[in-house]
Amino acid sequence: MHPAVCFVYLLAVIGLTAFAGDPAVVLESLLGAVLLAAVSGMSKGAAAFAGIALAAALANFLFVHNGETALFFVGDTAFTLEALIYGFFVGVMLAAVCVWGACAVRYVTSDKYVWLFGRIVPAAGLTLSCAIRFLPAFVRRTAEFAAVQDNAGLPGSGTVRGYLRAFSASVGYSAEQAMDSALSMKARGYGTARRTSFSLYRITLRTILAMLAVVVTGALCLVLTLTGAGEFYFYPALSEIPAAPEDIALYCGFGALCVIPAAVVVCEKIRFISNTR
Amino acid sequence: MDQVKIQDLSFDYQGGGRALNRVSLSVQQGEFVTLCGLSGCGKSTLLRLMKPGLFPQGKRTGSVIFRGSELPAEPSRETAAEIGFVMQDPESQTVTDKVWHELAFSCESVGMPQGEIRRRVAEMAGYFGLEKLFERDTYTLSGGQKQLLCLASAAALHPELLLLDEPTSQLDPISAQGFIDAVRRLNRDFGVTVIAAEHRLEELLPISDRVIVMDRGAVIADCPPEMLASELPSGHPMEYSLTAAQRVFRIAGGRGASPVSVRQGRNDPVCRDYLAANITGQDRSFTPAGESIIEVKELWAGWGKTAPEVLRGASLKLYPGEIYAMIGGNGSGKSTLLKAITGIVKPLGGKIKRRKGLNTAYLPQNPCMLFTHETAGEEATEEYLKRFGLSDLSGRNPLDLSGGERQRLALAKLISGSGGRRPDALLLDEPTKGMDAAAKHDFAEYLKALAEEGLAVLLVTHDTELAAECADMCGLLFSGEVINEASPQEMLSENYFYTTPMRRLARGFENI
Repeated sequence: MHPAVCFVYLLAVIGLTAFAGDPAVVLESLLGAVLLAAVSGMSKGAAAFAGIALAAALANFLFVHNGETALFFVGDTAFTLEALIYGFFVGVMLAAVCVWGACAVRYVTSDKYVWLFGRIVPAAGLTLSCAIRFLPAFVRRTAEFAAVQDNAGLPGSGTVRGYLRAFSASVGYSAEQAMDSALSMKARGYGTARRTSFSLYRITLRTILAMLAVVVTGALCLVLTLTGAGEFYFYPALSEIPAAPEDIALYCGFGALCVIPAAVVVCEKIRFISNTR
Repeated sequence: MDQVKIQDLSFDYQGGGRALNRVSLSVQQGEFVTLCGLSGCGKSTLLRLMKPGLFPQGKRTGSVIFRGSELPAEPSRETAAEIGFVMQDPESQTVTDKVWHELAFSCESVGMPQGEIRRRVAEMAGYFGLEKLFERDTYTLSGGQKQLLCLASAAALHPELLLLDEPTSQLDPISAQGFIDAVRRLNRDFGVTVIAAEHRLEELLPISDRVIVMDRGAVIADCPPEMLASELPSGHPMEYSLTAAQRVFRIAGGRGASPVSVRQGRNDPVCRDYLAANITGQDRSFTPAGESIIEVKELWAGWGKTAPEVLRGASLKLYPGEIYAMIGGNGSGKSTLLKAITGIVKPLGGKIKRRKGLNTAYLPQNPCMLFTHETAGEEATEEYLKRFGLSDLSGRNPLDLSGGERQRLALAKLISGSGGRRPDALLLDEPTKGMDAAAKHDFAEYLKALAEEGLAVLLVTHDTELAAECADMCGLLFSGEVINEASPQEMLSENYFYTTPMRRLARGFENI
């Protein structure tokens, strides 16, 4: 998928989740995210996200004592139903954002970031691309330096001191290599003209359709939220989940927005299976 | 018309040291020129003075004229595109994280519009056979693939002149041949002028139009390859670099045009007669003194649980005073074998028996991994610096040394030992990578001297000439097993591919 669609989508879905303030919206968001994670075969870390939700609920319950419906008292302090529910709400919201984030890591690959920054400042895109190449290479190299130097029995082997020695040798070597890289860049015309930024992504009909779907549903939800649809109060007492036509429109619209990526993934899988058969 | 005309070019590096001394030469459009000479003879300097933006720091006199006008020091969009440059190290030359981005890099730099970049990148990927790698991360590529990628990136700008600074010195023979073939195609299909500085003359000379030999900053020979055997002054260290056919022709006392490739050599009467008369089955035999110090039995090893094992039942024995050369293709497990013996890689099965209290020293493919000091003098003891001919370099930074000097310094450091204890066995990974033929010869001599003193040496290498020159025992590693062990004479005379060019030249002539 074209990176522009990905970034606009993430902005819309995470933004709406974080600022909607409506339990139904947040729940939809979480379900959409979990659905996407499930169809992408990412079940790891589910427990951690559940833990976040529970911890937030518990923390709010323990430390916030607003609300009318007291469940029990400890001394003069009231532990209220509202605080518990609000804690849950925040927890679910956090979990939803985290799961969306995890999916983003999976689907928004490094070249998409390079595209984004390359759009804004070509040099930034290039720098990012270099960094993405360099950092893992540096970590691998340093580990190898440490293994070889320890093996040679240099002083401090196997200790922090030994590792620092390998680290500094690796830094020195990398600096040397970087000078070579600079020459290689110059040899290929770096700095001779205003850089353009090339990317593999092309704007196709598919991109336009996807973008339209995201923008239209996103904008609809945003407008509805701003005009007061889906208003919900936790304090002093829980309000009812609103069910006016505009609220229903918000829930449907946001629900649709949330299932788009999972639907795309499923469709692609089906196409892949039917093509390979 | 001359495409490049160099007149009276001299160059002095800052802080002294004359790199070029009144060099004059000219290169025609579409010529394939091999530039050779020992390390430090000035070939890199000369090449870099032909590429705006890469001029070294120093004082220059004389002129370099490209297509009728003097080359400026600062690169312009035009010269960046017209003159392509590929350097030695595939790793450091790669700048970005994706193969397609690396290909597009040069086009982006000169500010080409998207549509044109798309076309050129697609074209180059197709021409160089990189389609399958197109969306890969660059770090997953082999050295040979990276080097081909650098060439493709330069070629995407449609250069008219291609300058290659030892582009295959870090590659194994198969990848090197692949790279040279790609350069040859560019030269043949598009008439791109090529000036290649190389040590690998065996592959390059047969396809060159001209060869230029440099020595201490001056051109000492400039002739077609078939005349080089006669033009090179006798006793010059570049003799070791000549192709096998040229060497035989020279020894046989031939005059005039010599054969260059193995095929020409086998059909050349001078070479045939000489080889038929002079091949002797002399065998340097080695009798192990005492017990083996390292015994590897049925070793299995690999790079982790998910990757398939690289070694699948490799066995060998190493004796004191023995030089054991393990040859084999890429990915046959040569490096893994050494790493398993040293303990860097944990074996998955089998046994490594080491004599009690054995002290081994491992020299990795990249000797820089061992250097931890600012100057060469601090890395090793004076005694060994002197022995390996490094005394004059003790004030230099180890990373500034040439490939051959780095290898010798690493060797000196390992033999100096930690805590004054000398190792009993040396494990060397591809020690002659990037060395010129004369440096290789010296290195082989150092190894032989160490072995005489009782040190055991196990080296893994692609360099069959090194194995032929110094090994007492040769092993052939194939698909994770040592499938054959024999003396180098036996192994290399029976092998068809894993053998030296000289053996290929002489094959079957002893029966004439």
